[in-house]
Amino acid sequence: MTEETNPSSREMVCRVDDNTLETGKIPIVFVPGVMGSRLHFTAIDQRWDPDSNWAMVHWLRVSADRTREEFALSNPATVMTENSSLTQAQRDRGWAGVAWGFYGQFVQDLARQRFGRYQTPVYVIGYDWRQNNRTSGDAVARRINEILALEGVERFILISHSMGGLVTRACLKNNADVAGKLMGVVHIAQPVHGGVVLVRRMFTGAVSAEDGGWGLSTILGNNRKKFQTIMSSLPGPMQLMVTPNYRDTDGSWWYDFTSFANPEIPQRWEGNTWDLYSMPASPPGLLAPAGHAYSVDAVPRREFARRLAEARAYHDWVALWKHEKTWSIYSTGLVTDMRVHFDLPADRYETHVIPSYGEGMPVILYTAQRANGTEVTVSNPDPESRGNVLRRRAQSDSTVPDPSGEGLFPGQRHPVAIGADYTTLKQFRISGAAHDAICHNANCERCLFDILRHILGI
Amino acid sequence: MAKLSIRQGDDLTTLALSRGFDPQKLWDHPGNADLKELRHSPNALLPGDQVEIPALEEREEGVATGSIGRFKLSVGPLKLRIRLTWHGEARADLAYDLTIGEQTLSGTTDGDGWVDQPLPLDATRATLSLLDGEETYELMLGHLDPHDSPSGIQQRLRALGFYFGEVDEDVGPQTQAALRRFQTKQSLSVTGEADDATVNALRDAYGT
Repeated sequence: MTEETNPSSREMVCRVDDNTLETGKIPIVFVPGVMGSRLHFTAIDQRWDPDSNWAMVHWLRVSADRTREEFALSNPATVMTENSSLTQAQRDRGWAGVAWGFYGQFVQDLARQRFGRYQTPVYVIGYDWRQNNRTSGDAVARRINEILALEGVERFILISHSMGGLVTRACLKNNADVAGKLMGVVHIAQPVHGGVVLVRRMFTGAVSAEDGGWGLSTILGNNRKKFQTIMSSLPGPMQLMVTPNYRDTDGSWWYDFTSFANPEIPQRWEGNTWDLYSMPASPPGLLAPAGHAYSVDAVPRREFARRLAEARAYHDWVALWKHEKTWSIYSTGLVTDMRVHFDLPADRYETHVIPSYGEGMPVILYTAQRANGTEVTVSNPDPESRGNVLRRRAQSDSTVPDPSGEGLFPGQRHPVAIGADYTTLKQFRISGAAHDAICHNANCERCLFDILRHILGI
Repeated sequence: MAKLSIRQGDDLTTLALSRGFDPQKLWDHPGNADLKELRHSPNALLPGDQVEIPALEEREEGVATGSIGRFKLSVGPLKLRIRLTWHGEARADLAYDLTIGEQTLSGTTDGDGWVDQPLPLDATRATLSLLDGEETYELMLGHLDPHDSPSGIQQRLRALGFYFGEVDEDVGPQTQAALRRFQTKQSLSVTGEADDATVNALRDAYGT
């Protein structure tokens, strides 16, 4: 672990005549993404700590309903402060609050950067990512004021990753005093219009191959009902649902289907996404009607509706607001869900039981009719996913689709260039950096550190 | 008469004093007219610059026997003058320690943030320490290059908080970006070029 105190710097001065030495101190504050903060659930003494397999085994073992109850905000959690590999000074700056496996490299790289004679102590603000991002934003604002008082300075710089972007925008929009002291904010991989993958998981659950491997998909709920049950207790993550502003990369609407009757006619569910999610028919409604297969229980059903209403209220409030001193970096070239598509099953089908002769099981055939009268045999009339078909393309950072990643400055896709004119160029696109690893990607750091030079030098 | 080639860390004032000249007279010497034309300040020269060192004038002064003759060499001492700023504001009344070799001078900046201390003739480095060592700066004395040379531009942009890269004489994108920031701050036309107006404003902002 490197110490992050600023070493003495060499200054070229002249004898006899006048010299100037400009100095100063500007804290750089980093706000991580969803599930990136390490939380201690004090009442049950369990930890959400991606750095510890031991801690995570708990979440792997418990049922979706138990996870829902333990994730509920009524179960208090605090941001963790212990990490034996960090110094006291680093822990005092909040470094132990983030998952070190995700963010350690980045935080250390940032702390090693030198900006002339300016001291730039690096602070990390972990937060309770379960709660409404607006609530987290206010918590971040309070902590920023503490940091400024502690350092005895008036100005600071913000960096966010992923959902941390929604938190910091809420922080700055809702806290004018803090916003007024901001020298600049850089959002990295912010899902401005949400993530399509989250809507898709509402129908498939977290599927191992596409959704982070076996461990994470099990924790998040590996079928539709489990996933919705767990999400019903998480206001913050529910605000990552696709907002009414999202479109696919060609500008087209993203939520579409074909009916069984007319499979050759493309159709769409259009309108305000929050209305669509709440519709009783599923899809486009997210919840299977009560009594149907994979429908969630009464309590999480009620909670789920509240989460949707909160998410809508959050996005209606924050909309596309951004601080006037905003820059953004996002990545493309990796695969994720770009839209949600269904080949819907038939509404009506007939069941034929063909008895077998001898010892075999009877064969059950399901048949249904197309609009043109042809009769088709279908394998399973009521699949969990309601006929969801993956629509994945390499136009994302593996989680956030490009149109959402570039949502703050639509169409700005500048390549990274040292010394760029950051007074007019606000958004930079890199390639091949995965969402969870983008912060310490070499090209992202090159871009970020050059933006910081601009912010500090202007 | 001899030509002396400037090395990094040299300046004309120190050269003059160490050889028994009045610095102003050496600077004004006709043999250095080209250098004076080329460089704005005798204390910010570039390595390789040629300084003409004339023969020392010998003077005869008659002094009556039985009396005490008093001769005064009219040259000022070498000084270190640094103005400390904090985000552009003077760091006034700030205690500092200035260490030169074995010697440490303690002082307090004046109301405009100035460190103003005499320097020994042979001093090449000094350490400026603020706030009980929380901030320390290694001062490379005599290393400031001319205000219109690439390295001199980078040094001044760096000292003033516009440039955070290496002083490498390569006026590339980082230096141009720093020039744009400086030009913006000074309400100059924002070109990223080190034109006359910009380097002169840079010299004035820095002090030399």
